[in-house]
Amino acid sequence: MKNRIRVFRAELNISQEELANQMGVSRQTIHAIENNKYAPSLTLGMTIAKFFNKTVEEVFQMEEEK
Amino acid sequence: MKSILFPHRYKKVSGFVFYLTTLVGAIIYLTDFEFDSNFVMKIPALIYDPIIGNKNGIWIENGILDELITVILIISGIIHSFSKERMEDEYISSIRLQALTWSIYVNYSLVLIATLTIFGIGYLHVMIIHLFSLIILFNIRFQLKLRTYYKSGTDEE
Repeated sequence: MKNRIRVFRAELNISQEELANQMGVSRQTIHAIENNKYAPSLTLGMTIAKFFNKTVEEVFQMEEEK
Repeated sequence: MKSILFPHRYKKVSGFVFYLTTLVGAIIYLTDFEFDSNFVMKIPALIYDPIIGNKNGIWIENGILDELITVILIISGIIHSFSKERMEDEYISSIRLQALTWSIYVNYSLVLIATLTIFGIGYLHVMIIHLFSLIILFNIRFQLKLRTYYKSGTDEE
């Protein structure tokens, strides 16, 4: 699963740490999500989307199966 | 869902006790230490089946050093492994679950190999080690994964 969290973060000019604090998770977790090393739970995904005022589909995209 | 993890404040102390007890227990075990002649006291026994001696009654005289080490190692290992991190979130829960899965696979693979290759009295050592191997493997794996986790994302992006 891909995501555009880094893009939306840049638009709002906030750091990973600030986003992590807002989401109630660690900075390492945000880092792992942005680098596609961890797929967040539905709750966290929806919370992130709501924070950016976007839909879940705008923030997260399923990768095409090869 | 309510957390079933121990509070973070127990992590350091339980870790210290766990690693120290593991080391002491390993040294004592490997040096053929006479367990039954240390910390001898009268204790109640649900089942007592000595190789020689009287089986009657529930109060027995027994050196409890090995029981003490076993209990301390298991309890401290469980508390250390299942104490919350300072910032406990879903990613750490995922890492903990993966470490537990890995340690079960490895532990029982080793038990299967040992079962098929070690026989006689030697298998007693396998059973004794098996008492502790799962919690030790899980602890080591989880702590290594946590180290990688904390090192990740050191460069702000």
